[in-house]
Amino acid sequence: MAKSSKLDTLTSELENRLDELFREDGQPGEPLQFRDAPSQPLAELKKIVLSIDWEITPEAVESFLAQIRLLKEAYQADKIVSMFLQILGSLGQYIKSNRSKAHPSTFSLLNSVFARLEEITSFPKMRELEKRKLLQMEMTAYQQLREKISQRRAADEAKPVPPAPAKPPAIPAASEVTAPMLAQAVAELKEFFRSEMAALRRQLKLKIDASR
Amino acid sequence: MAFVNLKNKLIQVKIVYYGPGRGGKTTNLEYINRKFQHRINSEMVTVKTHGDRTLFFDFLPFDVGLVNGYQIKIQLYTVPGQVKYDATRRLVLRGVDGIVFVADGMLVRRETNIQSLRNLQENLASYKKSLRTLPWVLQYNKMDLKEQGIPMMPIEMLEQDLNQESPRPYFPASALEGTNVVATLKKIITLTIASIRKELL
Amino acid sequence: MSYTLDQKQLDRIEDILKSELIDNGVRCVFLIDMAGNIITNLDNGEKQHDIYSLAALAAGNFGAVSAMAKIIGENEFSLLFHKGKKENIHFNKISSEFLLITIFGNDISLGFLRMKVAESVEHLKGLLEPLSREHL
Repeated sequence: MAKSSKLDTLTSELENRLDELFREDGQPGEPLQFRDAPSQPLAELKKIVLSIDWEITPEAVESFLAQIRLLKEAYQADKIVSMFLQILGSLGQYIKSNRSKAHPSTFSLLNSVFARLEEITSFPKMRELEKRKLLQMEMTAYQQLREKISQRRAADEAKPVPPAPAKPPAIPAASEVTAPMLAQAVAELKEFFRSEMAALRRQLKLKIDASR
Repeated sequence: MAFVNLKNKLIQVKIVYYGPGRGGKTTNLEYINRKFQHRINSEMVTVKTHGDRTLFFDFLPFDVGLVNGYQIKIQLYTVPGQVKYDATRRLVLRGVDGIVFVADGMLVRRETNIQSLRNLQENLASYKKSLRTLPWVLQYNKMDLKEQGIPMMPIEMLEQDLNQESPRPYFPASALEGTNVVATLKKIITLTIASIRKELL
Repeated sequence: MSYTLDQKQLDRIEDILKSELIDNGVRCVFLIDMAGNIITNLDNGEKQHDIYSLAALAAGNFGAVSAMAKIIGENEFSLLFHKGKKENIHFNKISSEFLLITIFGNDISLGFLRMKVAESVEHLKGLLEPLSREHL
C-alpha cells in the first residue's frame, strides 16, 4: 500500500512537472519563421550550381532541372525571376543534351545568371529598373553564347549555318525591358531551344547513318 | 623506363644519383649544371628543406645532342639521402634507367654507405628491378678531404663494402672540386644508352 | 628497357588532345609517364612553360599524393587539382603508367574540364594500354 502510494506521489509529481513544462501560457506561439525566407528557395539551387562547377554529373544536371521546375512554380508571379529561371533552364537543357560537347562558356554563363538571380532575390527592395538591367545583361551574354555555339557548329560542319527558325531574344533599343517584351522573349527562347534540339537530333541521325 | 619518341626522334632516359645523406649527390648536379650551361636549357629544379637538404629531389635535364639520328635527353635526378625520406626515394626511383651511387668516402660514413646501398636494392626490388640488371656506377666522393687530414676509407675498403658482386666501374671523386664528376656522368650515360641501344639502330 | 611510340600513335594522341582540350580553351596539356618523361605536350601558343621541370615535378607530385592515399587507406584520389589565382593545374591518371596534366585559366570551369579530360582519357587509354601491359 505504502509502495503504491509512493508511486502515486511520484507519478503525480511527474505529471505536475510535465504540465509545468508544457503549459500553454495562453499566447499563441510565434509562427516558425525563416529569417532568410526569400533566399531559402535558392539555397538548394545554389548547392547544385556549385556542385556542377566542381563536377558535371547526369544526376547533378537532373537535380538542377528539377529545382528550376520547382522554382518556376514558386515564382510564376514574378516575371523577371521567371525569365532568369527560363534562361537557367535552357542552359541546363543544353548541357544535358550536349554534355561534353557543350560550349565551354556555357558554365560561366550559368554561374553569372545564377549570381544575378541570387542578387535580385536577396534584395527584394531592388528597383524594377535595376532588375531589368541585370536581366538584360544576362540576356545579352546568352545571345553571345548562342552566336558562339552557332559559329562553332558551322565550323564543325563546314556548312553554312542553317537559319534558326526562332530569332534569339532581341535586345531592346530602349533601356527599359517592358513586360510584353519579356513575354515575347520567353516564347522566343522556348522556340529557339526546341529548334536547337531538333537540329541536334537531325545531326545525330546523320552521324549514325553515316557510320553504318 | 626510357621513352623513345619516333616522331621527334628523341630518347629520354632517367639517371638517378643515389646515396647517403650529405654524400654529394646534389653537389654533383650543381657542378654539372655550372659546367654545362650550354646544354642545359632550364634551371635546375631543387626541392629543398630550409636547411638546404634535398627534400624531394633535384632535377636537371641534360641534352646530349644528336646520336645516330636521335636527340638524347638525359633527366638527371638526385634523391634525398636522409633516412626518413625513404618513401620519397622510392618515388624518385620510378622508371629509372641508370644509377650513380655516390658513396661518402669518409671513414665515419662507412656504415651509412652500406645501409644506403641496401636501401637502394630494396627500393629497386619494389619495382621488380635489380642492380644486377640495371646500368650503374659508383662514385667514391669527398676525396679532397684526404688533404685536410680527415680519415678517409681506402678504395679497397669501399670496393669491398659496395662493389663486390659483379663489380661496376668506380670513380674516386670530389664533387665539390669537380674531379671525376664528368667522367662519372659520361660513363653512366654510355652504359645507360648502351642498354637501350636496340632502339637506336 | 624502354618503350616506343611511333609517328602515327603520337599524331593520334596529339589530335585527341588538341580537339578535346586545347580547342576548348585549355592553355597547356602534357602527357607524361610516371618517370617524368614527356610523351607529348601541346599549348595554345600563349605561354611557354618549362615543361621538363613541370613534368618531373608533376610525376613526383602525383607519386607523392598516391603514396599518401595508400597510407590513409584509399586506393587513389579521384581528384588532384591545384587552384591558382589565374592558372590552375589538373592531374589525371591514364592507366598505371601515364598522366595527363592540364593547365587552364578561370574561363573554364573545373567541372567542364574534368568532363573533357575524362573523355580524352577514354580515347587515349586505347592507344596507351597495350604499351603499359607489354613493356612496363
